Amino acid sequence: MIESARRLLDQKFGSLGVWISLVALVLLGALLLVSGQTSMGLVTVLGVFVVTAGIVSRDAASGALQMILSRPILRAQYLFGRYLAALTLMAGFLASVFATAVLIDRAAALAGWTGGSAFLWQEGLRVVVSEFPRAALDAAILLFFSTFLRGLGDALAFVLCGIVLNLLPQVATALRKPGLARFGRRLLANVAPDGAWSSIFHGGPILQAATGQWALAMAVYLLLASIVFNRRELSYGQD
Amino acid sequence: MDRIETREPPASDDAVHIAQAESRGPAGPQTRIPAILFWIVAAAIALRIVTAFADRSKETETAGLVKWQPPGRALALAGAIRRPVLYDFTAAWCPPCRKLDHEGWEDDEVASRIRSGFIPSRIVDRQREDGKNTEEIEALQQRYKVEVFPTLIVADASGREIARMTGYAGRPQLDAFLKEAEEKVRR
Repeated sequence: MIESARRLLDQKFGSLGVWISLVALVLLGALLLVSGQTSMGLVTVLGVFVVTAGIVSRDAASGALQMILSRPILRAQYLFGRYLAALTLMAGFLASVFATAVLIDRAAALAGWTGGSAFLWQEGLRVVVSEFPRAALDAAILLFFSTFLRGLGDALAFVLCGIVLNLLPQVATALRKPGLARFGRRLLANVAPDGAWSSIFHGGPILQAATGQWALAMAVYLLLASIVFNRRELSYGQD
Repeated sequence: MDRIETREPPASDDAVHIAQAESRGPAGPQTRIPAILFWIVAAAIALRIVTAFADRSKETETAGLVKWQPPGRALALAGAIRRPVLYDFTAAWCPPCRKLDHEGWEDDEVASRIRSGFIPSRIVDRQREDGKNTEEIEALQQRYKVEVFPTLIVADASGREIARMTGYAGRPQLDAFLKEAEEKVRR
């Protein structure tokens, strides 16, 4: 599992494109924090894409997966090794966003531009910490899609599912179908739960329905990823 | 006569491993799912059930130093002691609402201002979590046309809107809103 994690880290750290994307996202996220935003929203999702998209499918396409699985390891070990590496990278990414925001704020203070600063480092820390569980769930969803879709199909499926799930309740409401709208909202809350992390890290109760939805979704995506990946037929070089 | 030996070249380690992997196929020993994963799913299902019940058993929402009243009781109190109701339309998933809780309702000065001037009532939207709200919450949101969270509404005992604050942009906005509402109530 460690070997599998190390391999993903080597792949990501060895790519100039990944470095450039992550640095750009770190700067963008830090600027959002410094401007007093209470969520990093799209920046975290894009960070997850950079780190996790093609997490399994790329190895399958290059034939490396077949070589790796020729060793006496469980497929689940390979899969969760990759996932752990993605989580490690996301933790590093979010920590970098916070550190950069603090640096920008300090630099602005030293330069005397403190007039409009809305950055409170405790609040910034809460924001990045509460982004991590969301990122972990997004990474689990991408991991699941990556076990059976080729290339960057996982990222595409993630985006399409997100659009459909978010549009369904709105379309149903517009069509005056309250039952369907309710179903759509429940589906969204259970399939792609946000969790109430901001509330929890502000002292709210941990045992909220949103926490249960998040935990169940995480566990189910990881189990499904493992089941699908185990059942997959691998042919050398064909993917 | 010497016999000519024909030997196949030795297979590389990788080739042997690949051949072994192919012969094992997808149902081989590599495809065992760790039992811990099933335990994690079972624990997550249990947590989901517990949290669903824990959320439903909460009668009133607590936040900060303000003593919130259920909406029905708030209106009754407003009529009895002739004080306006301050509705806080909020949601668990909404970050600005948490900021308002932290900077507003947890602050001594704000809490005492609300205690002395208003009957506070917190209306927590559950649409995203439960897929629906109670009829009472739905009726209040429709009556006051609440579209964003947080929204603060000051209303008299008959339900007539006196002042409104939409969203939360920081403590100065909250202070200005409370001041404006107090002045309108005095008039």
